[in-house]
Amino acid sequence: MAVPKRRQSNARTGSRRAHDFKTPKQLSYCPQCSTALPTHTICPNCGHYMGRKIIETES
Amino acid sequence: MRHRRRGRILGRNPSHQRALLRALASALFLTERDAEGEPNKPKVKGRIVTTIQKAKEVRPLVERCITLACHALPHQEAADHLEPSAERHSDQWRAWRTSPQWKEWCQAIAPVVAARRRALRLLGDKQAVRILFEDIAPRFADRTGGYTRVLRLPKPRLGDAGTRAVLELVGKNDRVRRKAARPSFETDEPEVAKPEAAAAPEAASDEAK
Repeated sequence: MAVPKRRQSNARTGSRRAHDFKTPKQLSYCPQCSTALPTHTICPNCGHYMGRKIIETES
Repeated sequence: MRHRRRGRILGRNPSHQRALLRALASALFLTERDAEGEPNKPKVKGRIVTTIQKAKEVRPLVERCITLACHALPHQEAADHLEPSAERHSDQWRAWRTSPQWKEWCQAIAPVVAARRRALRLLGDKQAVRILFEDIAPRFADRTGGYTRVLRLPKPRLGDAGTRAVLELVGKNDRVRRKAARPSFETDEPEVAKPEAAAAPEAASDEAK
């Protein structure tokens, strides 16, 4: 059975994992109420998208 | 290899995919039904909420059904002219039923019946087909495709963090095209007014987005 010959150094492990990261979500702001929201989505606060109301909210 | 294979599998076998898409399309049409007093009635007519993948996948089926129904509209109108005004099963109606005019009416209505049967093959729901041909198709008579829109919702689904989306029939909540008004200036100098006027509509359209 194939087995590792040498112990892998911390530097090797670390440099392999250098690319394992998450990028933050791209956020934009609702032009109606300035709530932060993901791009190309209906606003969770006021229900607006592209200048018109899509979801009726109470407020 | 998966080269050039179109569409999504959605984690289902082919018959399950077909059943899902039919159910989704029928559900969209059924939101237009008269649901007064039903305990679980649709909140908004002509709109369903699913995941973005399912919404995009079901869109061609929905559009095909509506186009089919739209093509049947002129035939339906021609048949309506040949129909008698007498009540069904009345003596006058019985007389028409045995006359050559009835055969004419049959000829006229045949394409509509064929279209309805084809829609039923696609959807598998009689009530949905009826709503499609009687309520939805006349609305889209003068539109050539693009009957639906898919919009992303901000909050993911709680159980599996799926991206939720709204699939809705167009006609309501359409985008209003707003034109930026040209700003007026006290001093109407062409050298000064020109660059400002060019910059102003851009700023206004950014706001509209």
